[in-house]
Amino acid sequence: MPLKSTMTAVATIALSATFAQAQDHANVELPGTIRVIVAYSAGGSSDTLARVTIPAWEAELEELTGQSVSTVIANMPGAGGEIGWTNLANAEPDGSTIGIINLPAVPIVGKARDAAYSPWIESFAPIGVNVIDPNVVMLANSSEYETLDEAIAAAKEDPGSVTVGADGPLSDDHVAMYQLQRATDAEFAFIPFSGTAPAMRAFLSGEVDIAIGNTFDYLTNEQGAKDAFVLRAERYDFIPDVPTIEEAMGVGPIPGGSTRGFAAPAGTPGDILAVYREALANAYADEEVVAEMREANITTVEPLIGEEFGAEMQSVDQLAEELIPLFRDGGYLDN
Amino acid sequence: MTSLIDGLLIALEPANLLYAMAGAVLGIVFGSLPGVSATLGIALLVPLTFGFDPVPALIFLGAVYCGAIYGGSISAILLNVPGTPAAVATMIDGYEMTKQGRGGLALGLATIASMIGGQVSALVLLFAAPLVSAWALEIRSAEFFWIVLFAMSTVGAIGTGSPLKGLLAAIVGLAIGTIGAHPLTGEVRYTFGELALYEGVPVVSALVGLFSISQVLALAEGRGMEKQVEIPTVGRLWPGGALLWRLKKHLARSSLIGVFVGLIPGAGADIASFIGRSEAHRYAREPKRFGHGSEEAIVGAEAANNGVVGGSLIPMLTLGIPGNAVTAALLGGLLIHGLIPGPTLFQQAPDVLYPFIFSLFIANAMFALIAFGALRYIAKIVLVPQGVVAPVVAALAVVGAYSFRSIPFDIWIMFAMGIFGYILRRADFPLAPIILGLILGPLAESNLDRVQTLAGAADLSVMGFFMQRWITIILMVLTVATVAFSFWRDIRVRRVEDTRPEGPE
Repeated sequence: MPLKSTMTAVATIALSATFAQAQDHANVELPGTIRVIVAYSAGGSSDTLARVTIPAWEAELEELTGQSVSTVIANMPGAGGEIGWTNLANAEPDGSTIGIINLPAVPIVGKARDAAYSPWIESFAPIGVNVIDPNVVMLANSSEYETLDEAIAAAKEDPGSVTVGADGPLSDDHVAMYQLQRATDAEFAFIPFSGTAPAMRAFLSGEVDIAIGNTFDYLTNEQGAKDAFVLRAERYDFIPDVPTIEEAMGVGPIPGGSTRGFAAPAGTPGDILAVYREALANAYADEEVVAEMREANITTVEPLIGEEFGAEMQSVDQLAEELIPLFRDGGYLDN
Repeated sequence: MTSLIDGLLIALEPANLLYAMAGAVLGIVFGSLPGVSATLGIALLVPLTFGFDPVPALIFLGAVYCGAIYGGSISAILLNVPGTPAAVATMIDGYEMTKQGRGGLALGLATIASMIGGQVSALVLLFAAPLVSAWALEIRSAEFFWIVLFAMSTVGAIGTGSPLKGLLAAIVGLAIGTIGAHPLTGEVRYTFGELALYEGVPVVSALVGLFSISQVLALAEGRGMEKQVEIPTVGRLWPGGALLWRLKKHLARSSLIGVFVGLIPGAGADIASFIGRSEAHRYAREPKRFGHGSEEAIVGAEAANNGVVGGSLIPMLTLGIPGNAVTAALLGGLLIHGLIPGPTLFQQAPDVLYPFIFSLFIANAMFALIAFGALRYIAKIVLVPQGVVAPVVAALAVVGAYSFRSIPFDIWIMFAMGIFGYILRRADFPLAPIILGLILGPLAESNLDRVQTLAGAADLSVMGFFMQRWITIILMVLTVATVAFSFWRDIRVRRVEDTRPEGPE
């Protein structure tokens, strides 16, 4: 077959595929207004994610379906996110509501308090995600230990003598501490702070030995840390000089971090869900959108769309299930 | 340095100037309306700023604070009714001057003195706050716990007549503050399964209810339409440069008194204006004229109460500890914009704080300009009957409580707090310690909990852990001394009153 005709054939197939999809999506009837629930207040990292992603997503939706939709971001803070996620789970599953689910917070809070959206995995249908902010473990300059290796060894030797400060309880940082304990057999004294900022302040002032935070906590407090590693299978390109726990200690890999993805209430019709997923995939494939996200200090990774995000949700659920006894032993659970 | 210049430039942006002006006008209006205090004004307007960006929101609320503290003097001088508690000290001589046909002069002096007090305090805030905040970065949980306790002890003790009632109110506030998830363990307490209470009683709803609904109920006692009063003719406002120059020492002294009083948790503009007035009396050229229309008295009181503005913002912004009810209301305004006052705020949000601080200079100038330009119109506000004020306040309160989280339950919380506040008011309990207890309680609790774990990790008892750093020990001593002093003073005052039944002055 001559080259030209091959190309034409490929182009034709590609065109018809696109056309078929467009046809499919044109038949989908989208709601006029889509509400996007964010379980945290305006100005936070989840809110920023929504405000950067949603306009691009909306444009892609219109592109795919030829229908004009409008989106409203609804901040519903409260009860550590439970109010927003409950509202998302209980919303009419007709496509008129989607939202951000934050992992591991959704399953941890859900299991800790038997939240109204439990079991969460059956309450939310995955749309997609491209934000996983890895946990970074840092050792304070003022600590009596020279390296994290040494501090962790001391916490193994004399359980509860090494202090770890972090946002908490039940935060992704707290989860990361339990993951670290489980991987190293160490036992830390957990000093929770209401927010990462006060935790990092305590870290800088020398009140705690170790702090656990995320990418930007490390970037803004690097000068106060004499040792650090990241809980990730590979180094993260935002902080390329920070070794993974595997490189630093020879244990792991421990995948830890804070994931912020989009989901719809379970039961949302499949054709609508398919459009939403494709629109998000297209938005996250747009280099300009990703550049804008990075500009806004959003820790992007390769996107996981639809069932790929579903698989990620399953694995986080598994992790939460395993760690719940540790939270219970620590006195952080009611039931 | 660049953040200073950027801050100034942002504050000078035309839109922000408009926000400052709108805030100053509304502040004067709320302040001069008898029955609407600065606290209530801010509590009602905080929810309005929900849709604003953080910078204009704070500029607006800061201007309301400045304008309201000043505005209280208008009705005090013209009608012998204090618009805010902070204007009581001005009222005595101000109304005398109005009766003498010199009301315009009194208003003019109050305006200039308020502006100067405000500017001095903004200047102190601008330079002191970053220093305090840099120091505060080093504060650890043990010190923080004792700072909070010290603040509570002064709030309970200095702020009011009866130290016992003040402390009781503070304890009630602390008790309300325990509702919701434990700040550190996440254990849920006293919510009866109500999801809306998981993060505790929302500060904005509590504040709006406590201050506005209780006030509405109090206004309702007046049966609405009181007899119409006339605004007396006031004459010229501008006091003239020579007179101001003669009063310069009072202006300077009272401004600084205001700043210092503002710094102390528990004391507010009302106390500052009394101290300012009595210190002006002590150093007055004509002390005999005090109480009979003295210019010195007005200047002494008014520079002090606006001096409080900048001073009171220092502990609120740098430590997250509001010293009085107005700054507690403002703290609510910061919280809804995701700004958490405390040692890290100056690091995290200099781009919000510096424009805000600079805007206070603008707001102070603004209310003075507005006053000199349009006082004869604004003064008519004091004639709005309370039968009109009360329902408007109630409606704004409902909207305000709901708009924060869009949860109807918050409205019920607001009404409950309002009725509770009204009962306390009738029993002569101060309301400010309740709201402060509500805000500070979780702070005290979480810091104490951290100390317990830290002490455990260091193999020390909690008391032994406190004894490790000098600053903690000093704070402990101060706290105990404050409580002891306030009871000692109370007993002495009562003894004096017993032997002299007619009471002082």
